[in-house]
Amino acid sequence: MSNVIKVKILLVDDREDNLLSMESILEKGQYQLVKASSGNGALKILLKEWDFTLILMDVEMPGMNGLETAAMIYQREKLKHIPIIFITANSYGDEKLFKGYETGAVDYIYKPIQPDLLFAKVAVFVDLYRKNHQLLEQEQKLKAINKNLEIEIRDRIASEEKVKELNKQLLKNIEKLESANKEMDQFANIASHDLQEPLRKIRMFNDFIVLKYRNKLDNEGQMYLDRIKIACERMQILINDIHTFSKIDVTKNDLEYSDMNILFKEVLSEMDTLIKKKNAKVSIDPLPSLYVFPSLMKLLFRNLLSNSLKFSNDDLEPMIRITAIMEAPDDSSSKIKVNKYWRINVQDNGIGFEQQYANKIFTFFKRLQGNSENEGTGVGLSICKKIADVHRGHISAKSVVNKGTVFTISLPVETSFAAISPS
Amino acid sequence: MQHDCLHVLLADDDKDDRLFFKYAIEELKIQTVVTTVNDGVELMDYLSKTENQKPDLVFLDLNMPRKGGMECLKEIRNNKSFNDLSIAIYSTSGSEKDIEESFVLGANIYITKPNDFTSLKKILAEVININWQYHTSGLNKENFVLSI
Repeated sequence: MSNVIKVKILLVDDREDNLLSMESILEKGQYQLVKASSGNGALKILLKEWDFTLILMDVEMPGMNGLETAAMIYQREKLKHIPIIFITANSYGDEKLFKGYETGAVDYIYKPIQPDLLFAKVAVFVDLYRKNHQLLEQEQKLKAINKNLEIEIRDRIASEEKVKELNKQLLKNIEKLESANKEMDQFANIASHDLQEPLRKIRMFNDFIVLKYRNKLDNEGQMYLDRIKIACERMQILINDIHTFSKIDVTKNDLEYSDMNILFKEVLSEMDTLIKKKNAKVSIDPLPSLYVFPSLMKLLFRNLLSNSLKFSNDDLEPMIRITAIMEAPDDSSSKIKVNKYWRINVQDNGIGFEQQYANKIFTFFKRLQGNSENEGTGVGLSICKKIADVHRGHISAKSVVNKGTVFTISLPVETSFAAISPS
Repeated sequence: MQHDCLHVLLADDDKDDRLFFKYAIEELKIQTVVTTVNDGVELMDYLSKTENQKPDLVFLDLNMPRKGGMECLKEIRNNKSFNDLSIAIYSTSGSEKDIEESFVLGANIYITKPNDFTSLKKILAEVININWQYHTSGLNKENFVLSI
């Protein structure tokens, strides 16, 4: 805010000495003084300049007197706000002549002029003017602020609308994705079902031939029948695996606070026959309890265990060790809450693989074994990865050829969506 | 004479499945009469004719042309004259939805068509040997789905 408001005063008097005396009285006010020696002269000046704070005007002037001049001045809209102090020698009621004009805008000083009074009166008007000016400035500032606010609000509304639009788009996309997902689901369901059907029949008829005509075939023929059976079984497992993979659907399950020890033990008892057949030793260290989808987690464990049993070393008794460790984030200085993970390791002493393939094994249909003798379908570990993913965790593998493999499942201690899911 | 052996009826539009079914029951060497019909319409026709021998146990495929298994199941369970008829759903689908729906509609047992002949024989032997009176009274979802 500019503290110095320019004050400009017009002095009108036909007598030079009066003008001079007014000038000297007002000198200490440091006002800008403009002088006119007649009503006409004053009007002339006011034609070009209208930023006067105040007019001091002698009433008795030759030609147009002060009152007439004032009347002319006040006819102009631009000048109406300028207060006039009349300087008059008599008190015959001149003041009444200007009754109709804005009150407060007109005042009188009687001759002989008392310097203090004149100065004080002028000072009052100047003060008033300054205050008005300040108010005006503030008003303008407020208006500007208001305008900015309006613009801001408009912008905000616009951006809100944009957000709404984006949200709408997002919802639409989600809807599309959901329906695509559903279609995929249905496709996987139908495909696996329809693929399974003819296969089932091939196998049935193969069984018929084995049951009814096996004895009529020589060894080679019998071997072919066995091969057909094995191929069919493989295909059935494969289709089932794909079906399982496509069915990993979090929305249909609930997170449950589950004891991993119990889940693992359940899996072990389900796989008991296979474990005994392979003469495998399985040891389980104490495991944590976590928020998981129990059926999916069991599937993950089952796949890892059967993977270890499948790729066991022929010369060794399969040993599978399950351990767990809490991975604590080391930067305790950080104020950001870092998610802690439980790491569950499934370690075997099987044939292993080259570490360079460690990431590829989780890819769909990726099998490191070229020969069909190994029973894997290449889906099992993809299922494991997907299950780890839906738990916001991850899975990795470390392996040394002929020494064994360690699969590590990392699961967040606090599952961020635990609260969302009704348990 | 007829009441000495079990009368089993299979409604299935799949020719091969009807063959497997008959052959498996034959192999089981249980005194059983097997009747087969090709779809739901034929099944309801068969059941409605009084001259036909009423089956003890109906194996019902779900996905059939003209009239599906669920529809048949509904009609049978809404007809009091079939009260003592046991119904085994016999489908390739093992979907939760089908299992749930058929359970609610009053099927007695749910069988997913087995993948090989040995399993088929096993499962049919088991179903046929179930004491249905007992099984029906203890109806629950735990043992609704039969798996070998």
